[in-house]
Amino acid sequence: MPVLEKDITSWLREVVKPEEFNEKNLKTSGVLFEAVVAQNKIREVAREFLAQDYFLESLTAVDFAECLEVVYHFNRWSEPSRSCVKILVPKNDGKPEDGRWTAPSISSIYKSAAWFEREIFEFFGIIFTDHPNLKRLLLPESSVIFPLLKSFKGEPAGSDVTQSLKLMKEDTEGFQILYPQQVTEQATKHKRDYYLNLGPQHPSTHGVLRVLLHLDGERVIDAEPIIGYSHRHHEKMMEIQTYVACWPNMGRLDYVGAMSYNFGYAVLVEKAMGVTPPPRVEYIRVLTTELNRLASHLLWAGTFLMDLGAFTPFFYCFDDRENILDILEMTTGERLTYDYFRFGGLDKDIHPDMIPAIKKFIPEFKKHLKDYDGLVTKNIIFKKRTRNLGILSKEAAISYGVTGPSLRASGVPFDLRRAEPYSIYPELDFNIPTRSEGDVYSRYWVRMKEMEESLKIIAQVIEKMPAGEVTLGKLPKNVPKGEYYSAVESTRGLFGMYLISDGSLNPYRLKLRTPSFSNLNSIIHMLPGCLISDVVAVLGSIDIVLPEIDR
Amino acid sequence: MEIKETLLTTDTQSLSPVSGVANFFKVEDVFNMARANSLWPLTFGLACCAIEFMAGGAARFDMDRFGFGVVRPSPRQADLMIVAGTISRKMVPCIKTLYDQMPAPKYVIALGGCATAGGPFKYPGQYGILEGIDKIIPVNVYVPGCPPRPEALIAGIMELQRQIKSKEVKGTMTQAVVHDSQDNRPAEYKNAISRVEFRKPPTPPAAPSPENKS
Amino acid sequence: MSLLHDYSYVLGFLIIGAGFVIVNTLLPLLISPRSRGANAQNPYESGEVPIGGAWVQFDVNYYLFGLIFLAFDVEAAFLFPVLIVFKEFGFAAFYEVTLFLALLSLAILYAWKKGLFSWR
Repeated sequence: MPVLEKDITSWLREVVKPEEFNEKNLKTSGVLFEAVVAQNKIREVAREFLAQDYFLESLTAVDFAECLEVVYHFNRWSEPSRSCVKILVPKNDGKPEDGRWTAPSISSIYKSAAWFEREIFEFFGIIFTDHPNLKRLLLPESSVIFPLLKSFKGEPAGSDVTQSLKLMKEDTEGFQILYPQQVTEQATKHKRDYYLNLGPQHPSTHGVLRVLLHLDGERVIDAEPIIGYSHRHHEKMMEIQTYVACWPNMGRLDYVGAMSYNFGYAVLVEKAMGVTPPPRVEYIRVLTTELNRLASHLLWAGTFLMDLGAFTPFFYCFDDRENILDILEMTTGERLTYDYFRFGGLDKDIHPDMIPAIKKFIPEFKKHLKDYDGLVTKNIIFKKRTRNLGILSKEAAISYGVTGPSLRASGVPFDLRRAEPYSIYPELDFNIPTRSEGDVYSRYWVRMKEMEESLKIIAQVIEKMPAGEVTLGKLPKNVPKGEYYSAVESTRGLFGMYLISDGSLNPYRLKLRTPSFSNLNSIIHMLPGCLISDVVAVLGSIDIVLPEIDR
Repeated sequence: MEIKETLLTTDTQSLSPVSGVANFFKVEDVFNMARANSLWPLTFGLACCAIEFMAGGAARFDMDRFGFGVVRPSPRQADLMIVAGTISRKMVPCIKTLYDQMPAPKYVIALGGCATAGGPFKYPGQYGILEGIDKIIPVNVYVPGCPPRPEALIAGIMELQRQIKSKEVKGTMTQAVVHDSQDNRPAEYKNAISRVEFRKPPTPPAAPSPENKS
Repeated sequence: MSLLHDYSYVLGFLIIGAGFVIVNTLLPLLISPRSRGANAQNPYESGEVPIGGAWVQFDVNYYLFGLIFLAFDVEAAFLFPVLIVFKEFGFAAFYEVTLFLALLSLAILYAWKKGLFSWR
């Protein structure tokens, strides 16, 4: 820990001496500065950032003709200070299979880097030295492709069937050869502990997540989440499509909270193009996003409580959610996977019946919130099951890069709507609910309080909504050349997008920094020592949606 | 009363109908009616369509009143597999194992565009998904949509019920139908650009020039 | 002979119980179609190949829980016949049943004090 509060910029310039250094504008490009450092200095840089309480927001790579660029984004809770540090990995006319593209790993410093680096290894072929577990993350283990390289021009048609048949054959062999082997091995060792797959098909509704639990009786010794069962190649797809054609992707990443993803994409491209949407558009955007936030929290509450065994709140929450979906369906036509926003505006104006419907909905929903309070929040069984369970400390939160309500339940009032405001959020009056314990109960409590705050925002927006147009007309189809980063507060945390545009009609590289990717890692820290029934409670409380992790 | 022939096979069971005052159901019809009216789905949500499946089970749409509300997490106890969501290639062996582990008679519904034919994630040269579940397991009913409304799901299951009662499907394993991918669009993959070129500041937009080459 | 008449109910119960199990096991064997895939006989672990075997040393806590459950299940089983003849015997039955329950409650209290009801 440094004795004096050194400014990170001056420390970088004087001590590390980067090869390139550019000061940038936080409003137009999303970062304070960007620096290119030598490969052997990156660990020192990461240590200094960690010492100054920065968390690793995003780690990605970009494929250029002569080298690969590994891009680190660091950010802080206290004030908006996103910093971009890059290292270059020269290609030397090699191929990824040679294994000569290497970079140092920072996973011993930032624990969230472990998964980011595995993903970069899988998609680009860069080998990170000293990484504890450099295996493929999202694609099957037996894959040989490096998809996000520009030299990868796609698989031939019909390859899905051939690869599927190959994978099914490997699986059957696993049952016939590998499993009996392991059974006899286990039997001869007389150990007490065993492995259990909380597999891809399980009744919890978070999607297809596999958690490999190492158990001793009922207690968890170790947990390893294995993802990739929902990988739908959004990033590669978006490099081939035009910017406008990427809107449906934004609706399907986090399908329960899709409006905030729409918001992020709109803010990103409007920042890049340098346009501001009309005022009515801003109000409608905030209105629909907050309604969607309510619907998403209700879905989370229903399924989380069902995992714990309470069936009644499931039906109540889904019924309330259906009312909200009716309101949003009036305007957008969709119930779930919205793509309602457009660059500089919206798809169409809101339906005239929408605001009266919302005015009718708000007092009814406030009554229901009181019901939930009495039914669940004050319930002694619920309290006994969730208090002092799955505690997430602030140090772990920095190391794992946790954001969103899970972070606010550990005592950190970090919300991008206040920390790095966008749209009309500075003019609205709402609080950031925070709670200091960091256990499962706190995360539940924070989300219930956020629902009340969203209701407040909706009431204010309806009062103040101006009349006007909802579109800026025809905008150019390509985005000016450059690098842009923008982040919004989605229902699960900080959703960041990093765009590299070469001035053409398609994005050159669009990295999606999804909040659940970092949040899920924190279960490695929270699960050891829990009983099996607590595993489900902890997994439910961090509120993940698998397709946004696997992208 | 004459029983002309009594066949006790594993697949069908029929006593010849008795002509007389009353009209007797064939035993097989009774079994089919029982199977159709109490389908037990397997909880198998993969992606967005799973949320519509859950909403279908919740209070407003209520699948339980049709008989298919008893959702079983274990394939040994289920007889209907509703594949809801995109099938990524890593998930394929899992699906096949689960399908094998279901006891016959078993039925499959492909819910949503992704399970039918790849959905919005099908583009030329895609590397991650399986375009449609009917490439590896036989499907009885396809419910299109992205995502389909819960009413559409209920309509799909009722169509399956009709098929079971009219004996169009038997619920045994058959060969999967492998459709060829029909996407012949040319792929538009671009090459990598040079970093040095990229870092140069963009040329100022000269007003009369027609295009802006970066 | 009246004693044997009472036991005839027990015989009827036995026949119905056993018959239910036998019929429900044999009926699917006769009427259901057979359809076994490659992986049908393999252990179910959410669709993946399991890692390691399951024949490990079990924690002794499971045994203790099972033991306590058994004891109280048998107690509940004794209470049911008492219900039927309760009215005939009057207050004597009440005192006897209370004594029975009190003695078994001592066993619960002992188990509670020894910390059996929380998983170590």
